[in-house]
Amino acid sequence: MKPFEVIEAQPLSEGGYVGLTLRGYLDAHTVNEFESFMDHSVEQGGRRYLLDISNLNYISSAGIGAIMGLTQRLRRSEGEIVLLRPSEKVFKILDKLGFTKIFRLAYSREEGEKMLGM
Amino acid sequence: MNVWTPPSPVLDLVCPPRTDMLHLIRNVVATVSRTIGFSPEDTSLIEISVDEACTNVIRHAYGNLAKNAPTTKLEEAILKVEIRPTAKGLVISVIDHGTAPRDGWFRSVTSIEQYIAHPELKGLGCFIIHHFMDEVAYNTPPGLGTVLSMVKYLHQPNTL
Repeated sequence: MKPFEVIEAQPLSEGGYVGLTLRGYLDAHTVNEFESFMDHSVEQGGRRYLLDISNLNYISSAGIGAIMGLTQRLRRSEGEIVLLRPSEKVFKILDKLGFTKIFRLAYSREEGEKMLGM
Repeated sequence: MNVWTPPSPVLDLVCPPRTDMLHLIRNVVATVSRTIGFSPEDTSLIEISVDEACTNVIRHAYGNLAKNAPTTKLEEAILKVEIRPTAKGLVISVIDHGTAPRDGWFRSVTSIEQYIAHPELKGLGCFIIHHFMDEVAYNTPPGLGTVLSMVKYLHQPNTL
């Protein structure tokens, strides 16, 4: 089993959003793979992202920092990122650090799409 | 700050300072934490704190070594995690023989607001360690690298 995977569940379309599924753990070992994937996607024109993190079973400061950096980058160009269905473990870490007030979190695809203006 | 001096280490992990070791370290720390009676939530806090301490060692204490040092130096580079369960909780020390960080670096970010405003987005790992562990002590004996000791108290009696 790979330690981390990003799966493009919904590719970029005109006026739409990119839907991604993250699996495994996002730490100092796997963060480069995530950042490279996202850099490439943003360079291709992605601005709005729905990240399904229900199967992301661990996140460290490296992963939080990558999502924070991406959030700031996208918001500067009127983009947005929504984290969909965080696992209980990931939610508690984000919440205890105050990031649930900074990141946009959704608990259903419909809610996430609404947050992205779809 | 005083940190306990428990009788003897129960478990020592010594591994190369590489990020692919983090998953293994987290698993061992989480298993010990759960076994001695920490809740799943506290176990997560201990797990991420140790991860952050080890990541700092890999990235900062040995950061330049990995790029520039001769092979012999790389072989000498170690990341050691001492896990000591006690009646009161868990004492974990993360030890390296690398370059000691500059003064003040260890507490460079003191709040999430400061972290958000900080353009380089650095220091969150150290913030997490201080925020999630009950005691943190940091020693840099001359010529001996760095020892970061962290304590988490068991708030519930050990039922195992």
